[in-house]
Amino acid sequence: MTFFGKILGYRDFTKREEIKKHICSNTNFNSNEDIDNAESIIFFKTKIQQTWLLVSNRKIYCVLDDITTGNFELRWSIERNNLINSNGKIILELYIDPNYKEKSGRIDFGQIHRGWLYSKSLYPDPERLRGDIHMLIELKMKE
Amino acid sequence: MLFGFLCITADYLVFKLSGTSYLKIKYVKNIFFIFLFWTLGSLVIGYLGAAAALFDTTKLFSALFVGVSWQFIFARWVAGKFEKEDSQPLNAN
Repeated sequence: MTFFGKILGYRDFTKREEIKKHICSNTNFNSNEDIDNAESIIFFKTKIQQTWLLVSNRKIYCVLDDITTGNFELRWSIERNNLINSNGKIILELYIDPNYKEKSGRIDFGQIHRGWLYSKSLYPDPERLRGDIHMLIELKMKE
Repeated sequence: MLFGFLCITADYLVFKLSGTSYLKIKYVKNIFFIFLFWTLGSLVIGYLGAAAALFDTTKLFSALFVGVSWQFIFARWVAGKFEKEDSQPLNAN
């Protein structure tokens, strides 16, 4: 947290373990799900926001952490059967527009979860973002 | 300093009642530090202003002007530095 953030009353970013704990306490949490070993990436980061993708063996979660609000938000999740087919092929379509803004590109996760920003400073090459997401899904869901 | 304290207190109460801060402070965390910084800030700015003979803080209006204006100007300038950044759209789901 920067000094300027402190004097405006912002909180610190939430740590990955706290996010995992929150997901575990969620009423829709499936006991077959292994959240402790979930892998994650941060695909959008500014001074006040960061956005996570957490991938467990059952679901992918999108978490928006905005330090100007009281707590982070679990914005959506996608079940395994909408991410990968029975042959182990990834069926989640990612639409990436790297020219959306100067510092941010835009990414759609399939047809439903659309209009998310990603930081070009983290992912200057959009194919690397696509590759990282696919790699996480393959790593956790083909186990 | 007194007016600085009164100004930040008033802004805090308005925020608690309506969710709006005219100083653009969120009051999510570090409440004590926020009160300390903005109150002492008024003291320092008032002192520097008086030392430079810009205003006479022994007079009520001058003290009120320093206590309130420095908070509005500085807080909004700082908040502006954060607001310039991209942020996820509110309707993204």
